[in-house]
Amino acid sequence: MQLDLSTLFVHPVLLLLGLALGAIGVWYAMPRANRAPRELGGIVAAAGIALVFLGVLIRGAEAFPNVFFYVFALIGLGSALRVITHPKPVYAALFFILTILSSAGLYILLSAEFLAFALVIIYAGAILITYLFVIMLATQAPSEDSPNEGEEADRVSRAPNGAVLAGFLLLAALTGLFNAGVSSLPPSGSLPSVVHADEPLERLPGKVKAALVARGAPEEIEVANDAARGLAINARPGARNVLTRIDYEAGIPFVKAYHAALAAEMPETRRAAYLSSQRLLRDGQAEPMFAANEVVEPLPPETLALLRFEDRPTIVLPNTTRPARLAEGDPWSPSWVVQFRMPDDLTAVNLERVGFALLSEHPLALELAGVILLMALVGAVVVARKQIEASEAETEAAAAAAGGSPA
Amino acid sequence: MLETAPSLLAQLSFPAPMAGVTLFHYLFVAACLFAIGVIGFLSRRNLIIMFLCTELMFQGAALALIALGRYHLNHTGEVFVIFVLTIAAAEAALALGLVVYLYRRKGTLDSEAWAALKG
Repeated sequence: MQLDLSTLFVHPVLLLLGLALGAIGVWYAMPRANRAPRELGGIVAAAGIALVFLGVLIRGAEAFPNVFFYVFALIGLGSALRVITHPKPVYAALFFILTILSSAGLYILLSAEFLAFALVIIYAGAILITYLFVIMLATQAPSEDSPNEGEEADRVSRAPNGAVLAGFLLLAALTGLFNAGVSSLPPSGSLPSVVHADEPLERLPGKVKAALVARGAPEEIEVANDAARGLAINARPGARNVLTRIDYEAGIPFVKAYHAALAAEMPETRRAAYLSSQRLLRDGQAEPMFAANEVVEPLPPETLALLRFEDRPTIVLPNTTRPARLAEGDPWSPSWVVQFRMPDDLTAVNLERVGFALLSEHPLALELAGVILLMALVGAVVVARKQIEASEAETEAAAAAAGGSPA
Repeated sequence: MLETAPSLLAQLSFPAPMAGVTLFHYLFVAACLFAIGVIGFLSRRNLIIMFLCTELMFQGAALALIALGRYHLNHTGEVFVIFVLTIAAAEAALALGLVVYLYRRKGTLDSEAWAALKG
């Protein structure tokens, strides 16, 4: 997972070459009076962007790239290019919807499911429909003699040379910055935020209880939020039990017992292969979990429940069997994160995590966003109520000047 | 041994590791979206398309925010994108109202029709 972005490119010259090719392609594709070969421009722009990706690929070949990323990125950038080059506003808006959909795909690849759906609903569903309405309200009907030609303002762009140059310089500056500076960011694994892995234990006790009961835990367990230790599960009155939070070394016997119990239910032929395929991480090296002919101790008798979720063990232990080291010092610091992976329905989904972040860390910003929306609502009403009284002659003159037929 | 456990967990648990595709890829796509939006905003003359291009720039910024949030394994980036969406919606409502207003004035969406504003 160590990312060193400065080594990704074969050479910065390749980056600049690809960007320049993309800029030339965009320049060709801009609408203008004398018809340049605009499809050619699109192809050249795509080739430029592909060249940059190729440069990244050559260096990152040991990890096979995520195909969906390239598909979504290509669709998104291609349709973004069509947004700014298509002479007809309605088609530009429709291509923008395609950009939105492919960005939503990229969001999903980034594990931001909630925002992906919000993006489709808000942008494609609400904002772009408003755009389409306004385009249809504010567009001249095509005239008789040239039904396929739009307004002159749409067919000829204003200053394609300067605009493309500005865009290219901006892109070169931005990507140059990535090349130089991003690699100083820490790799994701070194951040202490991995402690979020068992967040729902503290924040979603109801969810945890429902999941546990559904998986065969005793019906009468109580899941309560324990301020000192996160979650506690009370299976019997007066008894306090802790779910899974065991440090690595102390947890190994439980993992072994768990896998041995799983293997005991397997057919004889698969059992040995299953046991020998289990690995344990020790000093950074994966080593076999079971020695040959190892006798595995069964789970301690006080184990309340052995819950099986696909290949992930979750063990409910009474308080007394909690490893002693967890009781002293700061037991929940990241270096003590358990080695168990929580089952999927015991982890917070993206929606819940965004909700936590939004409401617990940024409540003021949420209020401000509401105020801004309210102001926009009032402003839109004020703007929409304004009546324009243009005389007949004025309207005709304006329409004639714009090249369309008088309404 | 213990110090290797967190990194193992970071690879195993939420969010899924970025296989092959690095932060740079996403930032590059975001920068491209933003630059395309800038080019369109500078060169197109239709007022509505110009506002569409600002939305393209919003898209680029939002993608960069989400990718960086994913990289740092927190959700502040996503929360910020919610506000970007809010501002985009508010901006679209107001700007499109103004565009309709301007269209009723001049009968055209050509931004050059308002060149008198140059003074």
